[in-house]
Amino acid sequence: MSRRHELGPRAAWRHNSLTIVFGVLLLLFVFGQAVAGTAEYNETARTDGVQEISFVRYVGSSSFMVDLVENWQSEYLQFTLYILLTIWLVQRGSSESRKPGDTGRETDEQQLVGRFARPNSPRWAQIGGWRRAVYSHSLVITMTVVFVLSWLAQAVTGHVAESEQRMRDLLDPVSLGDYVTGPDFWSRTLQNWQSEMLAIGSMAVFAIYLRERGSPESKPVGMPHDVTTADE
Amino acid sequence: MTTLRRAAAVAAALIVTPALTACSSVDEPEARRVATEFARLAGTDPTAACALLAPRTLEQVIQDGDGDCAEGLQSESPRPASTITSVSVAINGAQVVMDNQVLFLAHFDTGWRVTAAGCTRDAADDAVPYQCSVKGS
Repeated sequence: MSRRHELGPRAAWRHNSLTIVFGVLLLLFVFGQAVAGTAEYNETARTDGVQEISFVRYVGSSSFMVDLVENWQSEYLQFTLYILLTIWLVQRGSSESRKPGDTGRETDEQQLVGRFARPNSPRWAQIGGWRRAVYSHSLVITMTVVFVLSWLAQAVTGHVAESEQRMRDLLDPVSLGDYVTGPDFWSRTLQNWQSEMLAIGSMAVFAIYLRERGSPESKPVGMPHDVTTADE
Repeated sequence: MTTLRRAAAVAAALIVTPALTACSSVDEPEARRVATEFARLAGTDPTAACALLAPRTLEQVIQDGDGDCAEGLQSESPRPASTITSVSVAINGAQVVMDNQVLFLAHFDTGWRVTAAGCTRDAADDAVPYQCSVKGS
């Protein structure tokens, strides 16, 4: 976030350019997905001899939502797992990993909480009790909540979209219970999960041997392969 | 924490709202009415019943009746309206289950229209479609 004494668009850009660019890209890609999805939905509607729908109606439909949130849930699952597993698991030489033997929750001093907190540390890190406990896990809690809500939304919207297609094919609609134990739900879910595990697992390994000069996601170009963290 | 709470609220709103809007129960009464009306008219006033058919189904029934929809509909010995046991609506599709038959409908600019009627199924496998006396090509 931008500092309070620096205001204006330039300061906002200087301090938040990564978030701004990803936010804009997200909106562009969601719009593109909606345009392509409307065309695909209407192509199938013409094939099935039923009414085509408008862009706005498609964006509000379960057909669009299931395609959107099935990807969201897997992204949040991926990062939740990565945040959690990298507390204890390591990959020697990877910039994505902590050093072997240096794993775990760390001490209060290392985590700057309680009496080790700095004057400008978050307030809930300075005080004790449940608020510090919650704040100490707030990232994973939030990511997990978004994952669960997205997965739930995938189940609800997926069962509606699947039911519509089944009724066009002169089949019974599917109940939510049958849908979440059926092939469409798990095919959508697992095809996303496997790709997320591939991406994050290969990133951890590639980061041992490969470099991108200047990126915080990479070790410095000249850093030896067996050195795990850039700050060693 | 304000930022965190705000982010969580936005995320929840973005995800939960579409999930809730997935329910289409507002369309159920109209789908129910059209299905009942079609089943009632099919035996007594087939010309009026034809007006409630979806375009592709209408085409097929006209073809079955050698150019006359009413003729085509009557040749299928339509089942009369009966007690409705369930109505399901999903986006632009609906299924109305009566005691004696199942009807499928789709939503058009002109309202709900029947895509198939007189449907029954013997197969236990729910991946096998209903057999319908009235349906599109």
